[in-house]
Amino acid sequence: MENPVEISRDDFATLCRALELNLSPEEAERLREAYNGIKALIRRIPRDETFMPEPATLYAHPGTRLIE
Amino acid sequence: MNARHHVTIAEASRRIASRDLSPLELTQTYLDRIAAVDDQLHAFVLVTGEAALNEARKAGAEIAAGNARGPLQGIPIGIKDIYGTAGVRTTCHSRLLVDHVPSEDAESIRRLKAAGAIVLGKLATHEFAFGGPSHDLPFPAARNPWNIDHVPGGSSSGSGAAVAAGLCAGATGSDTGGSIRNPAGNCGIAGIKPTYGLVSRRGVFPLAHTLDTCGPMAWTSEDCALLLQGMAGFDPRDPACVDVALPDYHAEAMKPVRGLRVGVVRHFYEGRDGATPETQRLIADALEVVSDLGIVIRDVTLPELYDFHAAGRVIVLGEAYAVHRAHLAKTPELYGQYSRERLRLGALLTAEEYYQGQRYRRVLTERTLSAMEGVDLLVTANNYGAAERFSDARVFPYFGKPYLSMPFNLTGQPALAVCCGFGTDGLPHSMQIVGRAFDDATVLRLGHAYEQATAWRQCRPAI
Repeated sequence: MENPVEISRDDFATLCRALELNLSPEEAERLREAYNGIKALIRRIPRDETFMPEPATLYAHPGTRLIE
Repeated sequence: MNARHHVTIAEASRRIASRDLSPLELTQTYLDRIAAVDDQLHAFVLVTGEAALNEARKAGAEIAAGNARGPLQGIPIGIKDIYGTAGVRTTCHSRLLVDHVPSEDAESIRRLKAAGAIVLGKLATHEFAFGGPSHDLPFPAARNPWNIDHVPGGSSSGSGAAVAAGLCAGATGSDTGGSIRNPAGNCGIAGIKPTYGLVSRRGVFPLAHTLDTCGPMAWTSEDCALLLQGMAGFDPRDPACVDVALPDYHAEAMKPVRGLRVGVVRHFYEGRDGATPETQRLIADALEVVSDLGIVIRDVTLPELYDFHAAGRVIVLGEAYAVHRAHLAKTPELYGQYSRERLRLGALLTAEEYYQGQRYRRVLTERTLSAMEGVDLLVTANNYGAAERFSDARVFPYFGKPYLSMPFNLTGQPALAVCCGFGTDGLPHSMQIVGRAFDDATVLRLGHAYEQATAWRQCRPAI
């Protein structure tokens, strides 16, 4: 999937240190690639207000909501 | 005639009721079968043989005394090892819990035992229903009985392998993004992810609590109906559980299907980027069978599969990391590589991204329910093809094709995987039948009718 904004190795190392993830270099590189992949995937989720559901459905529990 | 270890739950139940077969004979049959072949399959991580035989003797005595409990009485089953079992080690297939012995049964196991089911032991799973197939865990990975070089699928890997190979009559599974349906499809059995909220998750180790669903896996849809009856029911101590009246799933599954309306979600699996040509052909054949049963078929368009995938992935990763954060920080070496690395990905998501995923989930659910207007059920592919080889497994499988099963975890709808034939390599293929929330019975009805109309349930792995 296209991902125009990939995190640099330096920035990713800083992020992992802040989160105390303690990764080996190999793990860090695999996780960085996965990070770029998941961020690209997440961009499919609309984040404007045009898709905002009604508040009542927004906060209803999934299990309860299904039988309304 | 089938070997006794390949008897269905429905048939075993009839024979036990008519005193043609005793729970003790059946339990011993499975224990012998496990002893004979499970060193190749590794479906069980723990066999509780003596306890099972004791329970079988008690069941036999109850039946002899005229104390009938119903169709699960004396039926031996296996339990996925993320379900807590009182006094019996429950490891989640992880070094982290290798000595963990719960004091209580999971609520659904308590119900199955109360219905008379006999527990043969604990079944292999991907670590914490998340990290697998792995070879760096305290127990070996379960293997596919149709070809042991191939994965059984996951995360309910041992459940799929054990049922297909005739090591137990049925099994429990859990499904957060497809973990019942994927192994059911890969192993050529039936498995239903019930409606979210129908079966209690209390006592089952969580993966992602707003998606986790417990359900049965068995050789046939009819057997799944019998097991679901034993597992389902309101539990006020699972906050997701919904207090609804339960139908007689078996009776409902036996009803005629003529006149039902099915929407086919072709855009999930057709075309060059869809399922393998073999899977597409087998599903096309299956739809002809469904049509010949008197069912009205038309195409239905749901939101794009990638949209479900994006929302589902952010929710699973965020919730799973929340469960494991403390242990990941303290003892990362106790996790297998796949779990450890996949779980850490959840640490890199923001609260806003998680929230947007949940919000978009609601939108996708509304659109799916709207698309189902005018149809009773949906049919689509379950897996893109047959089970992959172990050598094809990878740490992060999330960035290739989106999971075909995830949409119905997000919407909470019941979804059944059924075998729809075999490829030229002898491996099974599968399709999904999806229903409206809490209409699990109609899903099982079509699954049963389809299985009755085809010969696939006569084919068993050679192991």
